[in-house]
Amino acid sequence: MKLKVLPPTLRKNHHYLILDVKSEVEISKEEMLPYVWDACIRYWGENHSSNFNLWVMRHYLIEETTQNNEPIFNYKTVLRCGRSYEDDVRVALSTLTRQNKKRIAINTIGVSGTIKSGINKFIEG
Amino acid sequence: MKFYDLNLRGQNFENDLALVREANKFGWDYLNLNYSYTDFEDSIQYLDDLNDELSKIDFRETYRNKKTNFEHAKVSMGINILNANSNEIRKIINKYRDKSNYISCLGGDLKINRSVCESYRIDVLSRPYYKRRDSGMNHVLAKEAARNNVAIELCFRDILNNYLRYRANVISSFKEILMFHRKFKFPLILTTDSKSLYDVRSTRDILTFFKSIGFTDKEIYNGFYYYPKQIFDFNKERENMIVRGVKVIDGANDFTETYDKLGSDFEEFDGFDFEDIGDDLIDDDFEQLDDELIDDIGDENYMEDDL
Repeated sequence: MKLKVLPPTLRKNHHYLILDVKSEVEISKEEMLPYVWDACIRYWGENHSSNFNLWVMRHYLIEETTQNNEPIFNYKTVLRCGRSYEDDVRVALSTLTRQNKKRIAINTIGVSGTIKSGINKFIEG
Repeated sequence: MKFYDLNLRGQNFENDLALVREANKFGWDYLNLNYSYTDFEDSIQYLDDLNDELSKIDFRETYRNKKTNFEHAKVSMGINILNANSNEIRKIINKYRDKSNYISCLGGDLKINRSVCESYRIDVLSRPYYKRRDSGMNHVLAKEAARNNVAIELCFRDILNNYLRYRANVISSFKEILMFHRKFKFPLILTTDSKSLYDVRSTRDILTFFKSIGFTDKEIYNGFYYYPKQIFDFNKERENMIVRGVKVIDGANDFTETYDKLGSDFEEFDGFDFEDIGDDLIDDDFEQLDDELIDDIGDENYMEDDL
């Protein structure tokens, strides 16, 4: 049996980070979440990371380029996080450089109150 | 406020172009590519080409804010002295001081740290904590750096490329150097030391990182803008300086006029609001759409079922 959905006043408030992700290898939406969690737990520890409430909402492949004969996959991702913890999450993500011995770089390009406006402004716009 | 990154690692034209394009995309305003003194004269030949290529980039391809940083980044080149002893450093400085507006020296060795801090002809002591367990600085070096106006450089790349206790050690060194900076007032600059595309981070990310380890708004403003600008402004005047503290001034009618001009070049920190850096403005539109909410809840349930 499913739990009943909480009334709006009791729900947690969220903001959405729009990420620019560069990677040497392809990354799926399912792989993205542990990457993000690992970065946060490594930088902030388990206690503080418990406030972040992270979830990958959208994950788009934007382009695939090469430099020095090495492929670079460029993604844009919408990441949900707890309201007022945006800066903590973006710091943790910016310190991530390697995952599974492959290079990765995550930059936060925007913060949005809703998924729709985040996509309109930072991904499609 | 503008963001100066005084330490990008230069290699060759293709790599440098890719690097400065990426840094320009993420909002940097002034980029300084550093080369070894042997490569410097070859690389300075393509400086104009780099600036031309940057100016051709379509503004819509970047994440730069249309209101606050609407001009593309400017590129300059400097020298980074690596693996040299005090005597070699002196010889290199004698040869290249007039040719370059930026000379830095990699620290780490205590003798190098000391000799660089004591030399007013070097602009920057880069990473005094390099390959050390301590910060590589003490009160004596801090006083010397302040007296000779030698800036101390902290690199974000050391955070990126170290993990666990080594990263903690670097952060600890940053904090110790910050403590010396607060007491002895030597210039402290913050750089990225990017070598590849994967090292480039947006200005806001790096700013937030330094905030998270205890830098104040004023120290960040000075580290990214005030001190770097001061270094370049000072070096432009360096050829007119006969001896230390005495400068030839052309076209000045009287002392008062000159004094006024000098004063106007400085831009002191006056409570700059970092929220104005608009590469990523938070949307004011907070209305929660029903379909997003359903999507959100649906995803979480999916995970629970999966487990």
